[in-house]
Amino acid sequence: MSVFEFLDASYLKAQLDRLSNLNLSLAELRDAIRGPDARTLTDIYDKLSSIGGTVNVGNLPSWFTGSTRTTDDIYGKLDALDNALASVGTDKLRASLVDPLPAGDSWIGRVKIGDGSSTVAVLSADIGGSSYSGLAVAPDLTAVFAAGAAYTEQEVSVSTTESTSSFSPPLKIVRLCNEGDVDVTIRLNGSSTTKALAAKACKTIALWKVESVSYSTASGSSTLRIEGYW
Amino acid sequence: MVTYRVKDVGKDAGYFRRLAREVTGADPFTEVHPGLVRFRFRDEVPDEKLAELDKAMAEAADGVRA
Repeated sequence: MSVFEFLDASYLKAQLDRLSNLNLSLAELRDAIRGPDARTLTDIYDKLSSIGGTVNVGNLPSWFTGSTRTTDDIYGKLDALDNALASVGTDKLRASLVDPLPAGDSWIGRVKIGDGSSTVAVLSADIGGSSYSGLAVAPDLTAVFAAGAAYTEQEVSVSTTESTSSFSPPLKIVRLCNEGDVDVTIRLNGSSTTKALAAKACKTIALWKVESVSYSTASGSSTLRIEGYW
Repeated sequence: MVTYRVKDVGKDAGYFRRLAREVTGADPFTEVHPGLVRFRFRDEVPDEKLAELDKAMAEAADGVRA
């Protein structure tokens, strides 16, 4: 019995036809794999061994931190930072910056707080109301502005007949000192509301503009010193 | 600084400031107190312009330079 008795002739022919389509010699296939530098598997193995001896993946974190840290350490720190940033949202920022400001409508420079009412309106209203919007600590305007060109000071007599001093351009800061022994009634910018300035007392009023100061006494007379900066 | 003794004519600082601006060509800070008008000019005003201002203040409020 020959081996050909176990092989189908048509099958052998088909296989031989497929080999005939391989237009590449084994030597050419080898050279194609080895590339132009004719690398061998040994070359590749040696190169990988060389890289493996140089790069220690376990040292990577220390390259970044300068100390022995694991990637889990770094991840943990980043995670904590992410959580911290998430807690500082816009609402928290608003609470930090805006909530400490006085309630109501006001302006801080060109920043509007409230519904846009101007500072002069707010303070003028307050002067006639229950609260007096003078500065808690009155600056010494004489020392601050007396040497400047934009400072004025005038003493006026105050009697039971109301008189008015006016300024153009308006004063931005006014300091009123009642130098007499009776209270002086003050009105600003023609407002119908009044405020008493006690005897021997001073008040500094920081408004956007003071165009006029009206003054009178209920009885007797006094002297009012008006200082201002325009 | 130029100060005038004036009669009370019921005019405010804005009125006298406009008057001074028209007469002198300069724009002073102006304050009005009972019996008193004061101008603070940024630069010196020539004498002839001040003379014109004297005249204008005399007409407007019997003003006399102090």
